[in-house]
Amino acid sequence: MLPVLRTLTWLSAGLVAMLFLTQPVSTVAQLTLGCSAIVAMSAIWKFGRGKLARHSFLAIGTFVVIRYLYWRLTSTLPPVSDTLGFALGTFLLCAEMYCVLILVISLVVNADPMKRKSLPRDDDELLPTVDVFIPSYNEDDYILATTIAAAMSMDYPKDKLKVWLLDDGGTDQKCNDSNPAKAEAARARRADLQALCDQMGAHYLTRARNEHAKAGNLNNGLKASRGEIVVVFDADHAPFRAFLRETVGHFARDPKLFLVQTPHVFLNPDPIEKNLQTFNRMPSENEMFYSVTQRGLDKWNGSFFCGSAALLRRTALDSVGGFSGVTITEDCETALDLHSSGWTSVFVDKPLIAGLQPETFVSFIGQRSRWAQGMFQILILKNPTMKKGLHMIQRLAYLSSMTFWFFPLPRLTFMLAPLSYIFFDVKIFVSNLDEAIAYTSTYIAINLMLQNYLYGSVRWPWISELYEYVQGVFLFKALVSVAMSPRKPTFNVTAKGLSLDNDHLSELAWPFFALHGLLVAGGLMATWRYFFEPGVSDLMLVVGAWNTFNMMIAGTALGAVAERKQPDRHPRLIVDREGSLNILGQSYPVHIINVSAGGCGVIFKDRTPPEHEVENNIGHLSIVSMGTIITDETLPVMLKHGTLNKDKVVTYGLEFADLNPREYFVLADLMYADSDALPRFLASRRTHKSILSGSYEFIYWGITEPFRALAYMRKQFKDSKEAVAVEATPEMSVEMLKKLVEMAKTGTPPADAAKAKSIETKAA
Amino acid sequence: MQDRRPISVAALQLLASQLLAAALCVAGSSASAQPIFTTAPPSLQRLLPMAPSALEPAQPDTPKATAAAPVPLRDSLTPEVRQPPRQIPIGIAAGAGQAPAAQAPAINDVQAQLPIIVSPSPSQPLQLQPAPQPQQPIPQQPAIAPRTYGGPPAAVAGQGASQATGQTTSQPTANPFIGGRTTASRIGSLKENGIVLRHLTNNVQGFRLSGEVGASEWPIYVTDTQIQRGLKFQVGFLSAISVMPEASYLTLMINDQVVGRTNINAARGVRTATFDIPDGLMKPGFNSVRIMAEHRHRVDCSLQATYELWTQIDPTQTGLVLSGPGAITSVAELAALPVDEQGAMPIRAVIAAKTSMANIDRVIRATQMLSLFGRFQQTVVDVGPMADGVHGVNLAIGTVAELDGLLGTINLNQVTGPKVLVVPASGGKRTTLVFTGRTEDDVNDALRQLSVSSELRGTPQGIRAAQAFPGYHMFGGERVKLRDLGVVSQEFSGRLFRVGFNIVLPPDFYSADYAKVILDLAGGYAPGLGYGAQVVVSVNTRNVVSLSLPKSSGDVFKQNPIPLPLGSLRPGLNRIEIEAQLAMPSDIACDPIAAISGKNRFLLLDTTEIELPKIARIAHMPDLAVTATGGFPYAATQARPPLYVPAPSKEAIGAAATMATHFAISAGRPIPFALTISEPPADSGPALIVAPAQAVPNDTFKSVGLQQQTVLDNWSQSLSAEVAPGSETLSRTDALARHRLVLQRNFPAACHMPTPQGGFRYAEHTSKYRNDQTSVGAIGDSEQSRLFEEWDANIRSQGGIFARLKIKYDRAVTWGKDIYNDLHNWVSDQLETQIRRPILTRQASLIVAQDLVNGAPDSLRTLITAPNAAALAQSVNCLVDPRVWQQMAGRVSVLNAGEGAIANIPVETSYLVATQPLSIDNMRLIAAGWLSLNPNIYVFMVLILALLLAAATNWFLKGVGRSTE
Repeated sequence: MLPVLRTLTWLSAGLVAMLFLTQPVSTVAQLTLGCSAIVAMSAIWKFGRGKLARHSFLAIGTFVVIRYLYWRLTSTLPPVSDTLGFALGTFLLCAEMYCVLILVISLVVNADPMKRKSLPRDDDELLPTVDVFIPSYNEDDYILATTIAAAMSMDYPKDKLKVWLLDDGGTDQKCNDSNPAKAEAARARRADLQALCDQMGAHYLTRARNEHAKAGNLNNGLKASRGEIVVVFDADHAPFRAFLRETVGHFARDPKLFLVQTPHVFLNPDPIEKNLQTFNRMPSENEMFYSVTQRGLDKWNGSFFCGSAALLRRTALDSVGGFSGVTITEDCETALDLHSSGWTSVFVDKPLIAGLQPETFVSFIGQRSRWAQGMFQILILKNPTMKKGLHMIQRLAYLSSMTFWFFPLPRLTFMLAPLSYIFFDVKIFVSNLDEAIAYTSTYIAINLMLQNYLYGSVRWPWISELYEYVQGVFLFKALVSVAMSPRKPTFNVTAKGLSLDNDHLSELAWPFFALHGLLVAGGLMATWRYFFEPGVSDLMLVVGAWNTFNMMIAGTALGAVAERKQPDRHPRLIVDREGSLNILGQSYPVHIINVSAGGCGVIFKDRTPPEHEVENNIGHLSIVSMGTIITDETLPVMLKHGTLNKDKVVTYGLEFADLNPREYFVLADLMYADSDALPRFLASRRTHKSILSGSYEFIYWGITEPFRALAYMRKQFKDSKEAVAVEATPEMSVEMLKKLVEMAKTGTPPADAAKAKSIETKAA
Repeated sequence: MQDRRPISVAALQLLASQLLAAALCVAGSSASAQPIFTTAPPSLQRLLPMAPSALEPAQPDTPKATAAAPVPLRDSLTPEVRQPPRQIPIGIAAGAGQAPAAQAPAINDVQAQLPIIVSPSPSQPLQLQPAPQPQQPIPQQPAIAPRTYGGPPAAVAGQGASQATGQTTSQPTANPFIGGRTTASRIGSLKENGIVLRHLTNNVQGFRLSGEVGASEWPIYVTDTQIQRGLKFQVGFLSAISVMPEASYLTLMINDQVVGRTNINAARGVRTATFDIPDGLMKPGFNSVRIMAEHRHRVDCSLQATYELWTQIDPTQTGLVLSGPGAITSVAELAALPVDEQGAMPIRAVIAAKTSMANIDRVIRATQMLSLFGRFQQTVVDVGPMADGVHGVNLAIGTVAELDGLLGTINLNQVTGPKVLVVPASGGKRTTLVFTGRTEDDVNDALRQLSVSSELRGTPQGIRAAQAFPGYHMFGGERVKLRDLGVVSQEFSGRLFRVGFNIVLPPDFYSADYAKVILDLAGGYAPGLGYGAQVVVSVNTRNVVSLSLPKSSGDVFKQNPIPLPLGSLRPGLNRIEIEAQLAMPSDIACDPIAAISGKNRFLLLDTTEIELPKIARIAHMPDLAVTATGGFPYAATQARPPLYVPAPSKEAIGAAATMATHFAISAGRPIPFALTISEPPADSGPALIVAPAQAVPNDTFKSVGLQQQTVLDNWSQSLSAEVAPGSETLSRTDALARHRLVLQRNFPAACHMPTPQGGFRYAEHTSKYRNDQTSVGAIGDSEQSRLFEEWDANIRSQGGIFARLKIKYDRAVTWGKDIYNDLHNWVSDQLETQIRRPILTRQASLIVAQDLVNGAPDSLRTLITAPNAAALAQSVNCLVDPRVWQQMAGRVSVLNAGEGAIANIPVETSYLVATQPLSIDNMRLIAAGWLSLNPNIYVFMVLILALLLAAATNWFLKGVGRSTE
């Protein structure tokens, strides 16, 4: 009875509000409403606390959006007789409708994001058995070694934890490749990794054929293992020590639970963060998804599998025949299948893994294309609105995750729409100035406020627009190809851990130059027309301002595709650990302040070794371990000279020399034992950026970044005369793998050779 | 008061003819001549009280006598005035001056009768007439004649046009009167050789055509017998001094065909032009008469200067020229009753001294029917014996016994049952309409024969004009082509194009900005228009929206939507004007020759459409505007609304009948008022009260929210005065001057323009024309600043990009200022209440006040009161001029007849009254309207709803999904 009453109350409140808001009131009333709404929302933002305040804020904002939408739909379309204007106007309207739709869905999804408390520590006997799957395709060994070491070091009863390296790069199919070089590489890879796993206590598993990509690989793992819970880590996603303790308990508390998902956190910048140099100060793009949207979804039992950093129940997987592999986003597809058969999911909003993300723009686009295509595939092939067994909001939640990927269309529409008026005088929006102020400007203000309120700490202003734009240009193509043939796209493994040796333009940069040029031309044209063409009205000012805003996005995007070289190849994690460094038989206690796969930073605590002993000297670092460390080995390091940091303390760089597989356990402890390191890191970036300062930064980029991009282009043009094609990555990998094979065979690697190779792979 | 209209027709005729000739003389005299007064003062008698002796004037019976009368006048004048060509009119005045005691009133009386009959004196020397053609630098067929799409262009070159084009004042005298007699002897001789002007009925635009292009359309009902060969149409007109004759044209269209065109060369005095109407063009029934004026400025090519341009049609000199019998002989022809020379329809109610209330009721009903029948916009009812003249009608209703002795020669002895008699005008008497019978029932039966048929007769254009007159009725949710509203397709080569039309909305239209009226413009504009070219649409003289014409390459469009805020419309009559501002850079040089042969700049097609969205239908009371323009609520009640006349004098009854008739005209249907002389009970339905102030009970004053004492104190000086203020006898010269001033100021002729100190003659030179901003005046402050800006712009425009930047900067500043002002106004609207000044002053001639007692819709009272009965009758006559009538609004309207202006006290508390069956659609629109008018409440409610929804959401979310741990 009560639920019905609640629903009825809510529905009737909504209905009355809708009736009221679709009253065609005067422009003055609308302006009053818009201004009052802004004032009221600001007041709530400043003084309101609690859920009622939050819902009031969102309700008022939504009302203004509805008012805008109503006006937009009823009175701003060009007349049908103006065919071109009407067609383009309708298109623009559809684009806006899409944005509003996304806003509405996200409001529903984020109505009340979940906050979960940490689980109490369960007794070891009660814990389920766990199989950790590390699917790999072409990742380098050191990445795999780190991940395996971190996985093996997780705080969990050792007898209940099995780590599986699921290698798709060394399948029989690959080993018998028609290309002899490739076949050789595959065979070498299989041998190397088998040895690696043997030494580290993990299980190596490969299969006959590379069928169904990642899903097939995981299913192969399912067949070979028997743990109650399956954990999936991407090869470059190393878990923190507390990973299982924080998550696995949920399975015992909910027998229908199929999934515990945790956020993906990256230690390296994506190309945009890297090229705009925002990694250390701006929240990552995916934080909005993980720390807001997934929590929102969690409320509705709708959080879904993201491919990695997640635990799944074997029985649940078995009930639907394992991981689904129809589309190229097997994760979401699997979750959809399981949700629709009545299983539940949980999202634990605690960063428990540290991963790598694509570093070049090309691989970034490749990854996003896969996501977009896969989500679109699901929408076509397994439409959540048709899928039985889902409840309404789950459908909506899945729909939101899928329709989100249509953003390229509206984004490009918004980018190009003003040009139609600037160049061709096509009016696509009928309004007078009063109405534009009363409706549009208040709508824009309210929209910004809504977004900033919902996502403020995890998203700077305008960054969404930038990401949409830089992806949009290519994703548009990807989406079209899916629409043409939904089953065609194939799984492309995202390349990660690639290095960038020099400043250059991304291969995909040219469309951005073209678009930016077009927008600049539009801006010039608008200016010229405004000043020199009689009769051009203030409308040109408005359109020109819009175009200028677009120019800022496009200019910043140019910066995003102008790839900076990356001097520090390994992402560092700030830690706070103790240890001691042994140089030439002398032991110096050190404070370890940061660590990466390639080295760490230390401060000598009591005494500093003499200067001549520091530079390029070999030493051994032993650490005070946090967990039950598997090995007692020390880390071989090479000392680099010290630098004075901000706090006037000399920090010394230690470069890890060649690590043998077991030494990776030490590294894993150093990096991944302190589970608070990651939240600390994220929190350091999550400062609220106001609309004003965000806009200022954005304008700065929009103006300066195109010049940097142009400089790169000039340089590249010069270089291209010499035309040196840099090739090598596969060869390099092969060579390195051979070495590893050697290492594995001999047990302890020959120092010099191994060092040379290690440096090649790690410190380039 | 007795009938003040004396008859001295012959003198009148002579006077008229002389004046006409004088006008010609003046027009013919060179431009160096100083302005003099050339036109016969029109219908002054309605404003001038007559000496009782004038009531029974001796009527000269023979043509000889009439012809003889003026001669001494002229003779006596000649020596006095030294400039022969200009002497005649002045001479008359002087003559009057010479015999002030005897002649002046008589002449005034004559004027009262008016130059309906225009006949030339043989002594008018034709050679004195100006020869317009030589004066004009352009040939007869102007190269830039505006093309009109309504009719075949061939009509221009046709028979009528060939005569009319280029012909000006010479022809009115030459043509119609060829072979005419020395003077028409008297009205009674109409059947023989009399020539009559069927004047145009007054309308809400007045008789002014202003701007570079202006047009007005009138329906005119012509009877079968009036359709004859050789019909002519005469137009008398006066124009602004700035009008350049060589490039300015007056065009007459009948039934959308161009009948003729003449140069406008009438800055110095009224000129007349007569146009031959091709035979067969006019058909029995309603016909459309459209007069268009296209002007160019003599020296100034700026947009601002175009506002100085106007042509005033002199209604006294304008009309369909009927020669031969045109008398109305049947009830069906009543729509052809001739209005007077100012376009008003005088109805003389012939009522026995002792009569029944029922009979007066019947009279009031009949006056309403008559006005609706002929679509007269300004009906003036008075009570008295059979009136003379040719204009208007005598209306006699009653049993044979009652009417006995009232009807003069009309013999009712044969009447046995219900009988309607239409006695054609003859013997100096107006057309007389008699409803009679042996018994009261017979009379009622007779009256029933007078019913307005919805079927209109006439040419399609005439029917259209009649239907769109005064405005086209719209009810919401429809699209209408402007063609149906009387607008024709036009090309335009000037700077400021203007076209207007009227629509009439239902009285229960709830006006607020809850929707938009879409004006779908069809037309185009030429390449090379200057900066800021735009179309501005104004509703009821307020600019509401503009559309820029941005393309330097020009453009044509079939549908260019311009949204107008619905709230700018109001119930009843609305005038919408489309104005295109089309300045070109070449205008700065301002070559007059270029103005003559200017290229077309703008095109308006009559396929332009106006779309009225669905409108909310609910009435609000009190609101005089709604009452004035829709007769609401009187026309909407089921019961008969009481018409309370506490002091039923003749004047009061006349005023009451005039008001009742006017409400019926506004409503478009008769209102069954029930006359009463005792105060109606509060719940007897909406009541109309017409009485002089002293006769109004205190309670009645209270019921309309007025203080009796305040009103009486205000009028203490005039309460007992028998003569209305400003009604002192005018000298002839002053009468002439007044007429000219009325024309120049476009003053509602029925109102009493007060005589300024020193007389009208001097007033003309000194008057600032407060009413009329479009008139020519000295360079005022605004003018100076405009000149400065122009010069400033001209000088700076040589400065290249910096100047442009400066202009842009200035525009940006202006734009910013506008926004600031808008916001400021908006804020102050929210915060402040406006301070109102008292509007009841000694200049007040009439008060119209309306209110509800305790908010009960049935208790609505509208009080119309004036200091005394005579002033009441006089002021009501002024009030019913359509242009004055339209100004009524609010809770109290105070008429200042001296200015023809109304000041209003707005409604503080208004009550909504349902007029339609409840429907969701209508309720929604009403709510939208109400909320639009109360934005603060709207916002408050929205915020409350948001809170409710938030709370509901909060509660709802607790029950669904997972809860935060």
